[in-house]
Parts: sequence; C-alpha cells; structure tokens
Amino acid sequence: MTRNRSIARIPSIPHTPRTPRAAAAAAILALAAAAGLALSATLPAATASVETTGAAVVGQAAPGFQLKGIDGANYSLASYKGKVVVLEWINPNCPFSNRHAREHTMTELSKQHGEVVWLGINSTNPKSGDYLTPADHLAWNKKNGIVYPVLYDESGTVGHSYGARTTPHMFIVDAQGNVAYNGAIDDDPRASKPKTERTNYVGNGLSAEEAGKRPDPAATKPYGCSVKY
Amino acid sequence: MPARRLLLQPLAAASLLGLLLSNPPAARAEASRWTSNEQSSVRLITAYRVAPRSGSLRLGIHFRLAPGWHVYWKNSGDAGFAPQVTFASEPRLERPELLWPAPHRYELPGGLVAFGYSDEVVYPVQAVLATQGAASGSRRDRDFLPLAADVDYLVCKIDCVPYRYTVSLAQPLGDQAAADPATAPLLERWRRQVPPAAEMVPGVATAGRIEVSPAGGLQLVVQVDGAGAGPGGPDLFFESHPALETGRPLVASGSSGRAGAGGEAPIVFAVPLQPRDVTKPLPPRTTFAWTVTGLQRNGAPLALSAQREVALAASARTARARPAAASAGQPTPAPLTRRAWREWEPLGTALVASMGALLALWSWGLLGVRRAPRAAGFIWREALGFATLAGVLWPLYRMSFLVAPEELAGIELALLCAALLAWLRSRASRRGALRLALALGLLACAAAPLWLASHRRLPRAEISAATAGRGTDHQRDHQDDDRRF
Repeated sequence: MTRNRSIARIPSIPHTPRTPRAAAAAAILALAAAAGLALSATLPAATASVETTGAAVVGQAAPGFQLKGIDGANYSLASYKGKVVVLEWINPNCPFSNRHAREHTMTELSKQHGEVVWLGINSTNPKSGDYLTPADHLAWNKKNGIVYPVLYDESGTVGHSYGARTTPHMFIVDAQGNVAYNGAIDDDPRASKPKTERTNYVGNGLSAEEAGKRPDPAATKPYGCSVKY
Repeated sequence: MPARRLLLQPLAAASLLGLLLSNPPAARAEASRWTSNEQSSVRLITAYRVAPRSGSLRLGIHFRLAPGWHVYWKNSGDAGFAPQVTFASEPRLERPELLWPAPHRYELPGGLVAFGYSDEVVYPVQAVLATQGAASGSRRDRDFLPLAADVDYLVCKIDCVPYRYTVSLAQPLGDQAAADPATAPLLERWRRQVPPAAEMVPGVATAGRIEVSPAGGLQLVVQVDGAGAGPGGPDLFFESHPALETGRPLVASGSSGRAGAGGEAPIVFAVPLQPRDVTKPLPPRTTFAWTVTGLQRNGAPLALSAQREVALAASARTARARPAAASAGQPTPAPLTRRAWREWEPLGTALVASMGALLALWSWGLLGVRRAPRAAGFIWREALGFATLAGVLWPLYRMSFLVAPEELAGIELALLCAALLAWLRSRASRRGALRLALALGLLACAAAPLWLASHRRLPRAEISAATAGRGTDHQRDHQDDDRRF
C-alpha cells in the first residue's frame, strides 16, 4: 500500500497521442541548437579572441599620464591642455636615439617650435641593461644639449598605452588633446641622406598644426631599437 | 726554344699576377670575402664556378650571426628594419631582386615582436644577365662579371647596430656553366625556403576577408585550405599596410598539428586591424600581402605567400569597427539611430530568438494550448512551427557576431532547455506543482538569452585583461635577457 501511495503521489506523465510529435519537436529544437553551436564553431569571427594592436590612434584622445622627470618634478599631460605636445620615446643606449641626439635632430626642432611642449619619455625597464639612472640620463642630456624634460616610465604603462614600439617613436598631441601624429621622426632610418634632405615628419606636422591643418602624413612606421619594456 | 720558354714563362706569370692585381677588392670566385663585425658576417655568393654568359643568374647575400642576434625580414615587425641591398651599376646585370625566405617570429619584451632570421640566412637574389654589350667589350669583360653589392642592414639583440658594407666578386663567365659544389646547394637550400605564391602550390588555396571581431573592431580572417599544420604550428606574417595596423594573429582553427595530406580542416587566422588614422575614411577595398609558415602537406613542410584585395569599409561592419573611436573623441560620431541599434542589437536579436523558439513550441502544442491533432488547421500550425524554427537559426547566427562564444553557447542551451521543459510540461498532469515549476522553468529558460545577451561583448573586457596581463609577460620576459633586443 505504501508503495502504491508513494507512486500515486508522483505526478503522472500520461502517455498521450501527442508524445511522438512532442519528442520530434524537442529533437528538432535540439538539432537547431546543435546546428547553431556548430555554426558558431566554424566562424572564427565569433570564436576568436584577438589581441588588439594597442596603438594610440590618430584622431583619438591621447592617453593621459602623470610621470616623474629626471629632474624630480612631476609632469602631467593634462596640465598642457590647450598646447601642442610632442612625445618622444627615448633611450640613450639605443644607437638611433643616440644618433639623433648627436645630430641634435630633436633639440633643434624643439627650439624651432618654441611654443610646443616637448617631452622625452624613457620606458626602459630598470632590469634592462639599457637602463640609466636619472643622474646618468641627465649627464647624457647635457652632453647632447637636450634641455627638454625627460620622464621616466619604468613600469612601461604609458609606453603601452601609446603603443610606443621604438626609440625614437614620436607622437604629436594637438591642443584638443587628440593624437595628431604617430610614427617616425623622419624618412631616413638608415641615415643615408644629408640632414637637410630628410623629410622630418614631426617638423612638418608641427608646422601644419601651427597653420591650423592636420599633419600629413599623420601616421608612419616608426624605426629604431625596440622599447626595452 | 728553351730561351723562348724562359722568356714566356715570366711574362705569363706577370700577366696572371697583373690580372689578379687589377681586381684587388673583389674575390675572384663564387663568393666574396666575409666582411665581419662583432655581431655578424656578410658576403656575396653566386651559385657558379663559371656562370652562363646570359640568362638567369642566381646570387645571394649570406649572413652569419653571433648567437642571439637577428637580421630582418621585409617587414621587420615592431622595431628594426629590413636589409637593403643595392647592386653597383653594371650594364649586363638586370633586375636584381632580393628574395625573402620564410621568417621567424621573435618575441620581445613588452609584447613586441620582430620578424627575421638568426644564426644564418641567405637572402637569394634573382637577376638576369643580359647579352648586350658583351661582344663590344674587352676579353676580360666577356670572361668576368664584376658584381658589387652595397648591403645596408641592422642587426639586433639587446641593442641594435646598423652596418653598411660593399661586398664584391668577379664572377667568371663561360659558354659552359659550372655550378659550385659549396655555394650552389647552399643557395638552393635557401631558395626553397622562399615561400611560393599560393597559386603555384597545387591543391592549396588561401583567402582573406574582413570581419567584425568579438571586440567590435575590424579583423582580417585569413584562411588556408589544403594544408595541415606543421609540428611547430602555423604562423602568419604581414607586410606593412599604409592605413592599418595589424595585430598579433590568432590561430582560430586548424592548429591541432594534423599532418597535411589534403582534405584537412582549413587553417584560419584572425588578425586584429586598427586604422592608423580615424580622421581619414578607410578605402572601400585594400590589398594585404601575407606569408603563412609552419604548414605541412603530404608530410613535407610548406610555407606560402599571397597578395589579396579585400573589401574593407563598404558595410556597417566598418562603422562597428570604431566604437572606441566614437567614445574617445572621434570627430564624426555615428548617427544616433545607428548607435542605438548597435547598443540594442544583441538584446533585440536574443529576444527574437526566444520568441521564435516559444512560437515554434506553441505551434506544436507544447505550451499547453491543446487542440485535437486532426483538427482543421493543425497541419498549418505545425508547418508554421517548422518555419519559425528555421527562422530562429538566423538570430542565432547573428548572435555569433555579437556575443562571446560562451554566451552564445549559453543562449543555445537555454533554448534547448526551454524545449525540454515544454515537452515535460506537456506530458505532466494537468494540475500540480510540478507543472507550475516546469512553466516557471520554461519562462526562465526563455528569458535567459536576454540576460546573457546583456552581458554581450565580453572581448572588450578581454582587451583590458590583455593589457593588464602585459605586466605579467613583462616580468617573464625579463628573466631571459639573452632574448631581449
């Protein structure tokens, strides 16, 4: 009896004529779901999780930062709102940075465009053999006549936010705080041309900014050593 | 006679000496002298002891590199630059072309990459030796071809060092060409490593198309059919593009290491693209050039190259590629209606999928609306159910572009669960708690896709995670200074 009662308490699932149809419907819906899964598996666009290129894009807002300079002062991009800012990724132990320092490429350009804020950023990791202490960096700056501030980005956070890849890697941030230029300093990675015959992309870009135009080209491939993150 | 021989022998010796001395900087052989520095050695080689007087000429720029140092492929990657080889003007040497063996990928600190070669590489040079001018030249011009190449290159490890040398040789010419037993096989070995155009490889094809990535940006999907993945896995290398940055390729499928013998699943790469300048519109069509390495076909390693024109900006997909730009001060944001559609499309699509599934279930009488199976119109309602079910496939397909794969799987499982609960409910007794519970479960399953779709576009979070994860890579990279550039 107990057994019968317990059976009676279980809600019955009557065998109705609808069962084959219901089973077929469930099976078809299951097939549809399976087909959807299979379809999604064959679509790499849907399934692939890709890494972004991670570069500061011309026309977009320049990533903000606050970094300490080798002079001990704090520098913030936001404090230069309304001014054109040039960011130069720099590494004194890179032959390319060294060559431009010896040739005064950046220092002369920064003097020619005196109203522009010029900031060097060194993203070299302290564990790297290329790392210089602020005192050594300052000495190198003095030797090469570099008077603009050089900021230390030892964690590489700012370098990554801009997608800085080489030394030198140049960015122009316009007065509105947007990236106006991203790329190489000039068109002569091999130093095969006299300085006067090189196309200085940053110089041309700054002149364009002063004339109220956009740099053209606004993006080039930077050249040099890799940033020692 | 002896007197004459005595006279001629010194003359011949002097002539030979003069010939040798008249060509002091160039090695008179199938290879120039090695020009060496601390990081690398370079020389010019030819495949011949005696080269043909005209026709195709096989040359090469041969590098040997100190451990850990690299020279570059035609796209150097994130840093460095490719070697530049310029042959000195020689009227008979036509169209010298530097060829690029399949490159290797070198991981640099901070997630940067370089493409190139370590240890040893020969860049083959394909040239043509013309016949004109030979008849009018001196005997020495007819019998020797002076070759001089200016090699401008960058070699990198922890630091990069640029070098520029001129390497030269005087190649003997003759009516009967004779291959050099040392340099000819060396050149041939490296020529075989130059990836052929995909069109030249029977049974293999490659194509590219632009799609919207899960992150909402553009991505180039490159597919290779007819080849399997080699033991080291396939890799993809791009030549530089003027308007678009190419990110790190991800093997979306086909990386299981199957031996290629034809009929394999395609190998698919997904490569994130980012416009270099969002103030300029992208061209409607553009050309990408790529090289795929690490393939295998019929047990033999394979690399191939391709150049394809793909459609870029014609559709709303391109507009979708710029949500970040729109939120970050893009000068011309998308219209409000398009932004609203972009915002609500996943939820709307999930709603359509759920409603479609419920409608199909209702049509089959699984939602408690009972009618006699043979009642008039019942067959039409069943047909409507099948049509609706077919229609549900489209929102599911669309969802695959809008949500992460895990969410799509969840949505599909929720619909399956709804069908199962509806079926159980249809078989349960007419009243009772179980029937109510099943109804509530059914509703929950039908609503679940909406909730899952509201968690759409997880890849945006993944971007942040990837950026944050670089710190970890950063630490790991610094444990091995030998690999650092």
